[in-house]
Parts: sequence; C-alpha cells; structure tokens
Amino acid sequence: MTASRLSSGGSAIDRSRPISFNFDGRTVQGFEGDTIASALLAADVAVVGRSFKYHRPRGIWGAGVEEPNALVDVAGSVRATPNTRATTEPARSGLVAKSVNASPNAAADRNAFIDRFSRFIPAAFYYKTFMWPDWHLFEPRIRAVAGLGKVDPDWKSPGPADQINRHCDVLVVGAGPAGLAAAKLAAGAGKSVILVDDQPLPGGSLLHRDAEIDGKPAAAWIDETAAELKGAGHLVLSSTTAFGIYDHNLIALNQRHNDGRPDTLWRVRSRQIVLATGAIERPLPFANNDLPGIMSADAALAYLRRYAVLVGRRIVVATNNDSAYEVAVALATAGADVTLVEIRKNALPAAPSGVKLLAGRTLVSARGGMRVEGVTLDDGTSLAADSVVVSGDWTPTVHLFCQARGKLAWDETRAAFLPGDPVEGISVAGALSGAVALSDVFSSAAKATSAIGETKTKAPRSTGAEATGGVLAAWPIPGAKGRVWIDYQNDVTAKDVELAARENFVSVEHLKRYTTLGMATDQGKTSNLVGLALMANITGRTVPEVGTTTYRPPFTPVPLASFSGALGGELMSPVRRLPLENVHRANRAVFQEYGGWLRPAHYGGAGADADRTIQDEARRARQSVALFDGSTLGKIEVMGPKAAEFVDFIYYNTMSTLKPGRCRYGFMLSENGVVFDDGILVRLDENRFVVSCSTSHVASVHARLEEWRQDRFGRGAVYIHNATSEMATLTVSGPNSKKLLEALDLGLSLDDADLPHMAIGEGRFGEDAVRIARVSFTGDRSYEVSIRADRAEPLWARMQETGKALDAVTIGLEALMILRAEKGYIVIGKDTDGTTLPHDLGVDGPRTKRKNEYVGRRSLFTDVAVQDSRLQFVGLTVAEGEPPLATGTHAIAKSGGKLRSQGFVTSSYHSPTLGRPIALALIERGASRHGETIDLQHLGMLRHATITGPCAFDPSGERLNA
Amino acid sequence: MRNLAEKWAVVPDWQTAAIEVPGLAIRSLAGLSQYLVSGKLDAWSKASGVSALGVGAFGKAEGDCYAAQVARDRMLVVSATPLGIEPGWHDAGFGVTVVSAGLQVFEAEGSATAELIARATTLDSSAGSASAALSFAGANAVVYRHGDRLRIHVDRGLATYLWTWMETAARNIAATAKG
Repeated sequence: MTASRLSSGGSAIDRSRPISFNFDGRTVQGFEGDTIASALLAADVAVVGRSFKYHRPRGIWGAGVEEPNALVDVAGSVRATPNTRATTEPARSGLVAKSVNASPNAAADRNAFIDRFSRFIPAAFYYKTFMWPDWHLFEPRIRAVAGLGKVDPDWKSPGPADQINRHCDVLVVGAGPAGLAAAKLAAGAGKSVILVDDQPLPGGSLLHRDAEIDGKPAAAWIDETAAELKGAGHLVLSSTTAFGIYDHNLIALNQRHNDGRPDTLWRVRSRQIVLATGAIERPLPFANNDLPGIMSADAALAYLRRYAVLVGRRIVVATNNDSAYEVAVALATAGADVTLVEIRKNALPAAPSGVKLLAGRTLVSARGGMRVEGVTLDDGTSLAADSVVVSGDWTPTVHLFCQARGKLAWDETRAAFLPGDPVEGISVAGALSGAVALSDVFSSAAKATSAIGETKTKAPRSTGAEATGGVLAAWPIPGAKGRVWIDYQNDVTAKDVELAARENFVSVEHLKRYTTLGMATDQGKTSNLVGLALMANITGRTVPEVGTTTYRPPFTPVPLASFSGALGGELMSPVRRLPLENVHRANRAVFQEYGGWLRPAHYGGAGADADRTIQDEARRARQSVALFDGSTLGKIEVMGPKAAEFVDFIYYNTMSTLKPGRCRYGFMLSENGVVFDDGILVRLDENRFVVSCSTSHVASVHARLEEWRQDRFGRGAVYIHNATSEMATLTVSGPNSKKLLEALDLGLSLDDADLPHMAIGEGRFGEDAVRIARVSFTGDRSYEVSIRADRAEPLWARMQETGKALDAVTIGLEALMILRAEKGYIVIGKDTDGTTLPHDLGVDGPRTKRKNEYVGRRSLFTDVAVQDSRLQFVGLTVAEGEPPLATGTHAIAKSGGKLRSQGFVTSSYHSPTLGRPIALALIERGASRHGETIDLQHLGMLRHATITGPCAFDPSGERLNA
Repeated sequence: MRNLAEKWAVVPDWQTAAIEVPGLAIRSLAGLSQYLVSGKLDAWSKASGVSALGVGAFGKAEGDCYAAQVARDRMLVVSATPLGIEPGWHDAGFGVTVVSAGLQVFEAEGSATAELIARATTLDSSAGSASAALSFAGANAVVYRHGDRLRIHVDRGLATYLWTWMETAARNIAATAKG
C-alpha cells in the first residue's frame, strides 16, 4: 500500500455519499466529488494506461486538463466519452472506465513487449521503414496497434447537445484568484460578466494552496465572491473549458454536465476578454521520469487537500523552484516521509519543516517497473521512494492568447514565454501574466480590468503568506544517459529530439511532425517547452529563437456532438415540405427527396411494385388525365419599371416581347454560358413577371436575380419577391384535362381561343383566386392551377373527386420523368452538365440573332463554345426487345486502339405508351449524327443504339391542343 | 424503393400544435395577412396608411397592422385583416406581393423566450438590428416582438423543420433550467 485516502479532509469530496465504479474490470470505491483519477489514486491503482507507441505503463501525472497519461474510455449509463482525461472526469456510480491503448487492461497489456524493441523504433522509424513495397500495405496493421481510445459504435447520445449564444461586456476565463478578482472588479464597474472555469468549483489554485484574502481564509473568499457574482445576475460557469478564440472576440466554451446531458457549446461574444488561465507545471528531465508514481508536485498537493489522497508514504519531492516547498511540507504534515531534492544551492526559501532537504542535487534517474521504487541523484545517492513528485517550474497557459494572434515574449527570469504586446479586446492576469505572489496576482487583475471602466469594487488584498517565484531553469541536456522522456503521451524522448536535430528537422514545426512531440489529446501542455528548450540547446540557439508551434483551437478535446448540436438527423439537412404532404401521405404516396423537397415518387403504398406502379401511372396519364402536385416550382416575382429589361438581361431568350397574360419557355445561363436553369416566364402585366424556375434551383435563381438587380439595375428599377411558398400548384394533364377543369367551374373560359397554350388566366375556386397557366411538361394538354397554399386541400380533393369519372390518375414525380423524357424535355443538371451550352441543346436562335447583352453571351462565342466535337443533346433507340440503357452508359469509339468516350446517357426509361425503351443522351456531334448506330458500354457490357432526335412521342406536338 | 416519409416527421396539425415547457410556450399563428413590399416605402405608406417605419430584429411591433423591415427598401407588412391594396407594381414606386400563406408564423411567449433566441441566433437580442430578417435556427426568418411575445415568420416549406428544432431547443431549455 502506497497511495491512500486519509481519514479526514478533502474539500472536494462528500464522504457521506460513497460511490463505486468500474475501472478495467475492477470495482473502485470513492466519494461524490472525486474524479476518476483521485478515486484511482485513493485505491492505489498505479498503472492507469499505456503509452501510445511503446505501451509503457502510465500513471497519473496531473490533476487537470494538462494530463498526458490518464486517458480512459468512459462508458456506462450516464455519459459515454472515448479518450477522456481521468483527471477531469467526475467519478460516479455506474460508470465504466477502461484504460486506453491496453489489452486486455493497463496492468497486464499484452503489447508491453514492444518497449523491449524501442531502440529499433525511434522517432519517425515508420517513415523510413515501411516505404517498400508500399506504405499502404503496413498502414492498417500499424493503425490497429496504435491510437488512443475506442469509439463505441453502438453508443447513442441521450439527445442532441445544447448550443447557446451569449453576449456580455466582460468574459473572464479562469476562476482562480486572478479570474475571480477580475470578474469582481468588472462587475463593480457595472459590466455584464461571464466567468468560466474548467474545474467543478471556482477557486483555481486557491482550492489547494495556502492563502488568506482580505483577512479571510481563501475558501471563504472564493464562496463569497462567486455568490456575489451570481447574486448580481452574472453567469458563473463551472466544468466549462474555453477552448477557442475566434474573430471579433468570439470565444467558444464547452460545458460538461454530470446529469446525463450531453455537453453544451457556448458561443460568447464579449467586448472584453480577461484571460486568467493560470500556468501548468512542467516535469523535470531525468531517466525513466515517466514511471507510474512520478507526478506533478502541484497535482500531489491538489489530491491531498481536495480529495484527501496521500500519493505515497515515502515521497521524494524534486524541484528547481520555490513552489514545491509548500507541497513538501503538506505531504510531510499528512504523514509521509518526505525528502526534498533541490537543484539550487543558494537563495533557497526557508527550510521546510519535517522535510529532509538535499540542496544542490539533481535527479538523474528513477528505477522501478510498474511503479517507481526509487531514484538516483547526481552524486550517486540512491533514495527509496514509492512516489516521486516533481516540479520543473511553470509554463503559463498562453494557448488562448496565442489563438487570438497574441505574440509571446521570453522571460529569462521566469524561464517561460509570457504574453507579449497586448491584443485588442484581450487582457491577461494572474500566473498567465507571470505573477506569482498573490498580491501581484491581484494587481494584475486590477490592471487587466482597468480599461473596462471605473469600478466601485475594492480590489482584494492578500493578507497571508505570499508565494515566491525563485527558479533555476532545468532543461534536458543532450547526450544524457537513459531514456529521458519529454512527451509522455507520445513516447518522445530526449534522444528522439536529438535524432530530429541530426536529421535537420530543427524547425519547431518540423520537430513536432517528425517526433510527434506535442501532438494528440494533450497537445504538449507539459512537454512542448521542454522539447524546444532541448532543441535550442542542441542547435546552439536560444529558446525564443526556436520559437513555439502554432496554437490552434481546441485547447482541449471537444466532443463532436457539441459542434453538431441539434443539427443532426432530421435537422441536419432538412427537406422542404409540400402544403399537401399529409394529404399525399393519406393517399399512400411513397416519398423521395427531390431537389430539397420531400415529394411523392409514386402512389400505391410502399408495398406496391414501384416499377409497375410508375409505369401504370405514366401510361394512364397519356390515356385520360393525370393529377400532379407541382407546388415546388419556383414562383419568383420580378416587378418594376425596368422589369422587362431585366428579364431580357437574365434570360438567354428575348422576354421583353412577351405579351401580358402569356408565358414563354427560356434558359438562364451562367456567366460562362452554361445552361443554369430553364423554365417558364409568365408576364402578368407590363411591369410584373413571374419566374417559374426549376424546383431545385429556386434559392439559387432567387439569389442570382437579386444579385443582378443590385449590381446592374440599382434602386427603383426592379424588385424581386420570392413567392414560391405562397401558392400550391396543382397540375392537370392529359387528353381529358380540359374536361376535368371545366367540371371544376373555375369561372373562366377554357376555350383555346381564350386560353391558348402558353397563356394564363385568372379564375376563382370558391372564395379564392386561382391562376391557371396553360403550360406543359408532359407534351399533353396541361393546366397548372395555382392557389393559396393553405387553401389548396379543398381544390385538390375536388380534382380527385371530379377525376374519378374520367379515370384520372394521380402521378408522382417518377411517372412525370417518363412523360417528359418521351417528349425530350430536359431536366437541368440531369440532361445537362457543367459544360452544356444552349446550342448543345439545339437552341441556337438567341445566340445568333440577339444583339443586346445578356448573361453568358460572350461565352457562347469562344473557341471551346464553337468546337465541332461538342456533346449535343439527342435521343437514343435500342433494337426491338432490348431492355433500357442504363443512365450513365458511355457512348464509345475506338481511337488509336483505345476506347474513348463520345458522351453518355442522361435519362433512360421504359415508355409504357410507346412500348419500348427511350433514352436521352449528350453525344459528341450528336445533332448531325441522327440515324447513326453507335456503340455503348456500361460495366463491361457492349450495346448498340441509334441516334435520333430527342422527342420520341408526338413530335408534331398535336397533343398539346388535343 | 424506400419510402422516405418514414424518415421525416409528419407535418404537425398547426391548429393544435403546441410546445410547452416551464417558461416557454410556442404555437402557430394563423390568419394574418402578410405582404412583401419593396421600393419607395414612403409611397407605400401614403397609399396604404401603414407606417413605413418597420421594426428591426427583436424590435417591438404594436397593433393589428405593422411592418417589419427586411432590407433597406423592403418590408414585411403584417395585418390582422386583409389590406385593400392590389398586389403588383404601383406607379408610385413600390411593388406588393402577397405572402400570407407563404410564411408560417410562430409565436413564442414566456420568461424563457430569451433562451430560445440565444439558441436560434448569434445576434444580441438586446442590441437589435435595423432588419428583422435574420438566420433563426439556420432558416431565413423575420423575427420581432409583438407585445410581450416573439413572432417568427418562416418560409412555409421549412415550418416543420423549425418546429422540430424548437421542440429540441425547448427540451434543452427545460433541462438547463432543471440542471
């Protein structure tokens, strides 16, 4: 027994509420308030994981977010997270934690043998070793062995993560003494304040370091200050990590919950940010400094005072700075046999009582296997120890400051990078600014908030003993004996850094990539500075000359669920809904997603034979009358004194000559001449048009119209209103369509003289106005009846009822696709691609005749646009009895002994009306090759087809008026 | 062919649909006449008698007939009763399009309305904005206050999406209040 729980004490735990959880198959007891790490330490579990590459045993190093070793996969009923830090994850009953990178468990990992071969697999060995014959041959196996943590594919989130936006005057990151003081001062200046801290309770270092503030014990001051802030309506967020700073002082926070809820993502926009993020203790460099039982001195103190866990009985405290003295005294007072090994000889703090002090000595190695058993000093002294706690001084947590583009300045006295020139809107306080003594910490908080405004609150005062910041830098030395570990998580040793230098990876960014120093979940919080100091030493440069790697969000790993928030499942990419969707559902429609809408593909229910049903719908549509919900078609109004000029410019075809009450089919081109959309333009009156664009293009066409309106026509000339959702459009098509419409008695003449093809009329259905457009996408006489979307249901019901006598059929989009393909009517994006110009589709008139400007015009006359070899729109027929061609089938030709694509099939169906397959295609020089039989190939199968005109049904167009 | 109707929630019955959690109640509001008006808004005001001063984001509209600004020269005019003005272009320099059915209107009330806003938009509801058109839960919407309630106008085709999103947000708001 070495580490143990003391019988009293522990400010963070509630001894009246015991808990138990499972770690690597064994039951661990603890108390509410414990982290997984504190409970494991209390249970004397030394090995909690295995290292990334060599599978070396790993013990707990820290007590917070800096933890490189104690990573666990957490399962269980409350909250499942892979690869989480045991030092920040609350322990709770029912939790199941598993060590990472260990099989079957951390204590008995079957891959531990890899460490014996470590000399053969140094940094970057795999870059060199697995190049022949092919890296990809080895990659799967290496990946299987490597990696940290496992995602449980069967785990389901209890719900979507919450995402909240907030605005405030001052956001303070870190609720230690500096952060609490800054928040208090900002609140006193009348500012709205948000204070965040990644610990479950505010207080930071005050939770375990001795201090007296304003004559009170630190704990009382913390409670008082936090209560004051909350009471005044300020937001105090615990268990919340500020993980990223973005433009305009947007700061992202991830809040963890202990009640089963997924984490919450906060996006806070603050006028001023105060960073009081503290500092992280560094390890000391000596051989085997990664053995379980070797940990941060500050963490040992935190476990003692917050969780009543004494990390050992015979403890060596090794340090190069003053901060470890308080630790040594506390451990000794708690009953441990403590030896303090101090690198410095002179200018030491007062000798710690109850502690054996060995000044001017250095640890050169630790010994042990699965846990530390002792250490050897530079003078050869051997000390037995069941725990070694070390402090290699402090690295200010500059991550967020650097993310905000803050520059660092090297402070030789503190042997650390500190924030340099100020960043607008951001100030720093506390240990981050280099302050050590509590009075300096409070001064820095006052300075950080001085620009916010005059505060009515008095700055807190340190009234107790003050910490001192004496330090003698202790960096790794090149050529040191043994394996001196720099990065515990990634198995990077001092020798690896030396190897990188020998191979000229001396840039700090190269060093990171070559050795993996500072990668993975901890991003080098304990190792980066040590590694680059060693590189500086090897290359004869100073630490600032080597510099740091780039700091990027996130500061700590953030669950992907936090980023996705509610926008998963149905909410991720929502489809638009038809006004009559529930009616179609009741009518046994089978729905598919088309162009961002949920629409009936066919009717008859999911149990029906879809192909047969679709064929039947298409056949019956030609025989009598079809009803179709076309509500998704665009209805974008263009109005104003220059509306006619505007549509002329937007369309390929001349539209200004259109008479009021008439419609015209036309193309819109992109600036490079490619057909962007097609559709009907309706002219309602002299200054008002309706653009009926394709369903899937409504948003893009609307944006395009608005863009050109603003860019070219200016204010007062023309305005665009998207009214697509205002009207439901119910289409009646087929030989009996006029009869059906007449029976509806819509109050207008349907005679061809009054309502010819490509004309509109206005009528009424009951109290509602309806607009009837005589346009056709089937080639049959058709009417599109538009009515207010929320009044469409009675009209649709009436159409259905009236249609019964005419053997009407309700058709879905799949049948409509057959009908339009029989006629050779295109669907943009299906029968065209990103190169199709209007003359490729046989529409050349405007190109040759129009003299005025329109979008895309100049691109229709380039060398590429007039090439003979362009793909042109055609129909294809196959020999009698053959099945339809597959869409996407390539037309092929032999050229120089090789096969070459001559184009491809864009649409292909069986036509129930013609009783044979039909196909549309884009074929090289197709327009001049009608009658030619070509070869086609699909999935290795060779077929033949004859090129025809696109229209396979009623080429004379008689049925439009039949 | 898979029936994707299974994948998507059925469109609610807007007459009865309601979201209720402590501090927040949301329902659909029917019967409002809505008009998009663009161009010379003063001329529109003169012709219609409706003020050309539209409220901006989270601004407070009052009465049975009011306007919300949605662009520099565009407003959404909302009225409890139909306005006697013809849609189309008016020679006075403005155009009118009826969108009464095109925009679904939701109304939220309660002490947690601010929490709903905080989840739906990055805008600062206390700061406001000249335009009431904004991205609300990822959908283009017109959002303002009417009396002590929040009104949200959204494209009819996306109303079911927004409703599902608000149900989720309401659950989160309730859980946060409880937690």
